Amino acid sequence: MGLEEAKIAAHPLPDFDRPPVIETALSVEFAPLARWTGADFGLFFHEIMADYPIAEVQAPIASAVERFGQERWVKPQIEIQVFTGEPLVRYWFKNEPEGKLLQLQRDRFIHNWQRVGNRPYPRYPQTREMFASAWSRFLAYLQARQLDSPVVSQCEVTYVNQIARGEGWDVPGDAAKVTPLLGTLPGQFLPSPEVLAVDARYVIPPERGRLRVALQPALRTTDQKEILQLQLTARGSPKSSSTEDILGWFDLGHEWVVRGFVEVTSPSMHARWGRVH
Amino acid sequence: MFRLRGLRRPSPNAPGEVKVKPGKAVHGIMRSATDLFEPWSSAFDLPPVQWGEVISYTAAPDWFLSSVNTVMALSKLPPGWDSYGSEPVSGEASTQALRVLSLLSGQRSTTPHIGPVAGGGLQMEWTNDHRALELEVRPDGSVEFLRVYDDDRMEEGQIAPDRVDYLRQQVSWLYSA
Repeated sequence: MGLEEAKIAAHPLPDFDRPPVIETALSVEFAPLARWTGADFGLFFHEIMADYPIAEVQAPIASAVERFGQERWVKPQIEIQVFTGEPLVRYWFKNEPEGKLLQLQRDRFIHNWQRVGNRPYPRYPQTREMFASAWSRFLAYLQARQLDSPVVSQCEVTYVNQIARGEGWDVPGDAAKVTPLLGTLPGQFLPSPEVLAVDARYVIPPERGRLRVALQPALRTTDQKEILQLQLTARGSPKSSSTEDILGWFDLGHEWVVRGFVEVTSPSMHARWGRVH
Repeated sequence: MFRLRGLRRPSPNAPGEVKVKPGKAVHGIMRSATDLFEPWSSAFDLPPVQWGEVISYTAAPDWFLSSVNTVMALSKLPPGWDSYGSEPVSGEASTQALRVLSLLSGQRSTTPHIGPVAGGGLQMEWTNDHRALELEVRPDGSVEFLRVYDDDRMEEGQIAPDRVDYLRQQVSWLYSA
């Protein structure tokens, strides 16, 4: 049993019967694959299309690296993308009925789970396994094509929770009922706020990464419902690029997301979501 | 100033009457190049890895927020709100109106005047010095448009479900004069 596992065994993670999580993503960022070409997207798609039958092109995601100390403040940079014949794109490989999405670009590999209908959240061990399985297929593809293995710089765990209007809040000012990070407004002069949001960041010691918490009102475009979206993202550097170390960082990030979620949400909301322990 | 005339209503069984499908909404914040650069430095940027699509109110323009609030308020009107026994605004109409606003959220726009229409629909009107545009969302969620040019010419029609681009063009047209 590793140290992280031992700590979790001693202090089990909180759990809910009906958590408001609607989407999770496990992501790794790595140095751009040197000999990866546009054709590789198609060839890799061929390998996985039985499980991810729909491919879609998206704009690429920018690099996101947690920095500390002097490294944190860097001069403004203008990023110039030099086209050498290979367009910078991100591909989505989707399995919508199962709520699975694999996102791939030259320097990113992301596996998402999204809630489908009223199906329950499959829980972290399963989403971790989904990532591990897809990542191992990706590594096998790279090996078969004699491409370099990814040099991983960042791991990222993202949980997106959505709380619809009427499920514990009615007006934006009610965000304080959802999170203790917001105090109650006195309401003597100001009207109820039109928009109220939270932006909090926490260092995962000792500089292993950061947990970012954002609560914001939004309109969900699939059903036009007003929601409060609470997103928690843990990001940091794994010890190495090995799958074991990547999954080890995900375990740490997941623990921070779950324990963080409990501390940034109110007991009344916990009761609504059926907190087990 | 234009005075918009009511749209001619098609017969209840008009062929080709269809709903507007949701499309890609534009969201996010453009960051100043002179900011000290930190990745994803505003938590109010939506996570770039997110699959499900939402329009963040922290990044949305004021006209969008104001319009959403108006639609929400109108959707709570009681039956007979016009003193002539009208139906309340239908769920289909308010959902479709929000969908239209979502599709336009990334557009240059001013706050439209939004009002209820007898029978359970909603009407959205945009005007500028030269042109006017009216979108009527009918109780069944179908959408009709009326364009009024500065020489009083008018053009009207329905917006097909696969013409999200056409909806955006309508608003672009208004501000292109």
